[in-house]
Amino acid sequence: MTIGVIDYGMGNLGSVISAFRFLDVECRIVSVQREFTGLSGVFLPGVGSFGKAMQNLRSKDLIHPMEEAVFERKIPFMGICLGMQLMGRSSEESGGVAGLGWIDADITLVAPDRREDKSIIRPHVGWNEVEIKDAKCPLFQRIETGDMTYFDHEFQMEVLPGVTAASSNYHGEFSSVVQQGHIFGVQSHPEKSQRTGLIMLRNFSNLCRKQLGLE
Amino acid sequence: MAIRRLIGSILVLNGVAVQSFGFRRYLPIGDPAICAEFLNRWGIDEICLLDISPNRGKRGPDIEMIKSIASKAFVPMSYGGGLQEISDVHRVFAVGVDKVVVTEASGDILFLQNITEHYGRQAVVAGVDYHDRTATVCGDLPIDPVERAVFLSENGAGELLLHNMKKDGSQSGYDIGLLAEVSRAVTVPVIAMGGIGHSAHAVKCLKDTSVAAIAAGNILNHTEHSVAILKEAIHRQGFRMRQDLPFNHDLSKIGQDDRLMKRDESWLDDLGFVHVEREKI
Repeated sequence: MTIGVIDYGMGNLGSVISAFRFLDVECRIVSVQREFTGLSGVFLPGVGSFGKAMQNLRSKDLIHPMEEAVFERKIPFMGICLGMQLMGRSSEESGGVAGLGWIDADITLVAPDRREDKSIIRPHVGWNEVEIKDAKCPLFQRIETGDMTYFDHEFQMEVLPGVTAASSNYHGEFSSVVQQGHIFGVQSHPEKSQRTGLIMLRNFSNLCRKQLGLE
Repeated sequence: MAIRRLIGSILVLNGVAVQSFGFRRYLPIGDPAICAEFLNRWGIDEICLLDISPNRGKRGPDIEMIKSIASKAFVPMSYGGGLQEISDVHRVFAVGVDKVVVTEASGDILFLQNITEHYGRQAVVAGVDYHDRTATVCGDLPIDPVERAVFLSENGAGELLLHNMKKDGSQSGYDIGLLAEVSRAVTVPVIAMGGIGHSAHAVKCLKDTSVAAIAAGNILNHTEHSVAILKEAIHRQGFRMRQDLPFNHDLSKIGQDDRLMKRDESWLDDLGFVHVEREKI
């Protein structure tokens, strides 16, 4: 069982890989189409700007193999931080750039209703609680409302009924975990969220294992 | 609302973690990776690694050391020291660093903005090192630490690390006056560094300023469970801290000096042992 961590020049690959290594989950870096063979999970990290990320995914020709793996081969997918936002349709961060469009959501600035309010500290950096909306979401085994994960973002995904599996609150509610079938998005950084985050990654790897019929 | 953070700082001099006294005298602590591993295990919220080796600027960051530390830290980690070129920044991010600390040693504001463009604001912590009310000279940047903080926050910094060099290692408490002023003046998170001696200092800083995080170095390196106990002591004085460890100190007696106190003999006599299954994540 191998999880492929997508390298598109945006991000914290090192920390994701050391987290999987700590959990004893096999993973490897995937940066071209042919490396998608044999994967049982796809992991999209991401730090940086929305526009640049989409441009890199496009120029490295990664969108097609990713969609093929996720939608045709039904391999579990997890996007974290920017990797989650990229699943939306568009983002205010980079106007006019289309996202992957897997989830019907537009990405807005953090606390979108209070755009002009100078007292709001942006980006939203730090530990914040998750409020579980969908306890059946496989990522939440052994995780409860009130557990904290580490956030570091300036843009956010709105709460979508049926898709938002957990929300968090920073001058207003936003989606901190989304699930659509076997596609997951986490706004925080599970690889940097100590015990709670590592448990989420463990739950994801267990799901990939299950999908493979290993359990 | 995001909870306020306790950041563990690790100072490194020529590959060895050190305790510093005002950046004039140093005591060795040991392997920085072991410091990071313990901080992580005891529930730190974030790690700030600062390499203060002389000539670090010429030699560039010690990537192997950073890598060994980052692989032990399942919490966010910031790094500062010897960053001169954008290529240095790419290298430290590639080994698992989440934010870089950019100080006067790294040069001008254009460098900071360049990093912001590549990695976003959230990845840039601008360091303001100062003595009294004078920040270390850096090009045309304002000398007044408050003015400099405002300028940096308006020009690409995602967080500000206010480091009182004079108070460093003094255990005399944070520089409350200036921290209150800076945290009122800017809209980015402010980190207080330099001067913590015990939990009451942390509490005073959280109470009297709106800083987003407090950093502690020396005091966390010398006692078992230091992080968990300090957090519990802060919590008992009215400020909630993040606690998600498989153990807790809810019932422990904590003394004035933030050390665990010995239990009464009668309590120890009554103690029964419970088997606690080792948690598998």
